[in-house]
Amino acid sequence: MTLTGTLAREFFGGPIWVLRSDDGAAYQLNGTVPDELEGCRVKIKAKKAKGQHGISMIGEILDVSSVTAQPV
Amino acid sequence: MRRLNVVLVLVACIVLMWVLSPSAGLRTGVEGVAPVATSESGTVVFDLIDDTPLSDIEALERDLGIDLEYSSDVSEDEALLRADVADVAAVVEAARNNPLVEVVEPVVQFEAYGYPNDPMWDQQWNMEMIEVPAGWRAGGGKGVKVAVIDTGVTWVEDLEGIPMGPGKSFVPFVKKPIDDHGHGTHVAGTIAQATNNGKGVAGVAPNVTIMPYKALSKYGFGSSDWIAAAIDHAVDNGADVINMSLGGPHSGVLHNAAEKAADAGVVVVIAAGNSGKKGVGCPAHADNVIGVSAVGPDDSKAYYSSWGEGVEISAPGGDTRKSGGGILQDTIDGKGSHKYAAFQGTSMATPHVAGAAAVLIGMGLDADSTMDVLFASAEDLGGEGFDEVYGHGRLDVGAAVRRVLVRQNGLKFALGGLMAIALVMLSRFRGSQSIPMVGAAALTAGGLFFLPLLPIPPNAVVEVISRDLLSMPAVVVGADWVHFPLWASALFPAVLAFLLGPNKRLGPIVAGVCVGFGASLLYGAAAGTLDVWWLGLGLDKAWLSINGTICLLAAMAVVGLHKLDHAS
Repeated sequence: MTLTGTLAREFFGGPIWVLRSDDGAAYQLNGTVPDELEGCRVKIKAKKAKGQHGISMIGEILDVSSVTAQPV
Repeated sequence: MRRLNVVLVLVACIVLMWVLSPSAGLRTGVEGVAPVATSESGTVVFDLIDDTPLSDIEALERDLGIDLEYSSDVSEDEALLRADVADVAAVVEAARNNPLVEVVEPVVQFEAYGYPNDPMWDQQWNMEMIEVPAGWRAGGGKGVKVAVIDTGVTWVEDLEGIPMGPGKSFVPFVKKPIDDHGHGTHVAGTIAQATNNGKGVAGVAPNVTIMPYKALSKYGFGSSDWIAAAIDHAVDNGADVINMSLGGPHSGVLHNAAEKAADAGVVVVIAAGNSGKKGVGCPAHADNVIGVSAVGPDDSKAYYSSWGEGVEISAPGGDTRKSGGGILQDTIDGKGSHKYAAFQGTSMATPHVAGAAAVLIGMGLDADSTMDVLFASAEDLGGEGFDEVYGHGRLDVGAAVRRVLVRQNGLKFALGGLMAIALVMLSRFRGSQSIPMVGAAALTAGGLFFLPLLPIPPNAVVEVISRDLLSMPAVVVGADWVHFPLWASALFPAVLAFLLGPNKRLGPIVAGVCVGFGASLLYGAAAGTLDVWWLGLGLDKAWLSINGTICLLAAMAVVGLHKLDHAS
């Protein structure tokens, strides 16, 4: 799946990457995300992490395969 | 002379109990001063003979090679002086034999007794918000097992002395349930951080046993089947409470495991989620579990907290955007070193509720009653009554404990009174003697149990006089004191009966105290609310039963004495 939105670093028992997508949903990102993209508008390619539960509980967990910056 | 000896033995017993009590250093609501250390600043205090003339003081300064000054502007008459010196020991030694000097010693720093003495307690606004100290005085969850299903638990310095196990790791290739993230250790700290140990911070129920489970990896994720397996294992190994500061999308396996644990009589406490939106995660939305939303330091819903169907109660989860607004506990950093860290989240709110549940279970409640009391005593926030943001309201440990104590002490009050009435009827005691006896029995057994129901702000005096005589030491000198075998015995009533039983005026009251104390012991044995140190395997129940019976026999002996007097 491909999503666009804003990338944020949030803290719930430790730092996590969160994508706040254009449709208003929040996703927790699992995988490598470049630090310099914090606060940027990005496009990500990812797939849903099935059966995964975690400590941040901010939204669905996505296994990220790529993150690219997008023009504002 | 014989009575004097008995008094001396009684005093010795009390001193022995105090010395042997593991909480001998623990005070509740008692302010005082205590020396903490010999000063290392090189200051020496001199108490000279009163009205020592200035010329003699100057001579002393020359002899010792020091510069003395009065300790305060009102110290001249008392000749109390101080001096900063290079070698404290040498100056004290040199001055000791000077005829002007009454006392010379290194200055000693004093500080007010604090309770608890955990140095960062004043940063734990969350504990004060829910009145956690009331739970410590009610036993702090003694003997209760709390399973923490999380990233594991590492035994950091401020978990020192907290019993752990059994536990297990369900994360593949990780053998032990040791934390490699920091989340689980933080959660365990909120539940059971070592308290009043002079280190770090405090926890809600520091007398529980933590069962550490690792069902989430070092990244904070875990599969639903790992978590479900951990739940099953915790239930099979005797967990009384399960804390799950985790969540995610619906999983039938996880949902069923949580419900089965609740059906098995375990209090299951689960975080609602951190989406900031309506919609509670799985497994918090399962039936008969406690879904927990979070409030910030301002006692309103935290910005991140999920809400909706499934939220049963709220608790402090913190807000790290505000200075000092996080939940501070001992945990580990990314390198595995311990650190005191402030986190936020419904993950942090959940263990407050789990700890409170452990306190109530430690007071003798079962799972259903524990949940009922937690909900009924919660501080109603938001709209009146139950709502989907705060559930039944914000957790209030103090109110919950008081509710249980009123119920238990009310029962004991009635039990003591009824036993005394039965004794009066059996012995055909005179009416003028029976009234003080029955009154003393009821008050000794249950105290003025109804006081917490009156609109009186909670305070130490009410807390002491609204409980049975047997548990009064829990408030005055420390929660564990009540478990000392010689106190939880017939010793005190028997000695009282021996010394004051024959007294015409006091005899009926003494008989009542014996009955009331016996009723407390027998209630403790029957309800399982009182365990006795060093007596396990049911021996404590036998001890309480036998001693309760001896108390009743002592009362009968006193009643018999007065009947003989009356007959003669």
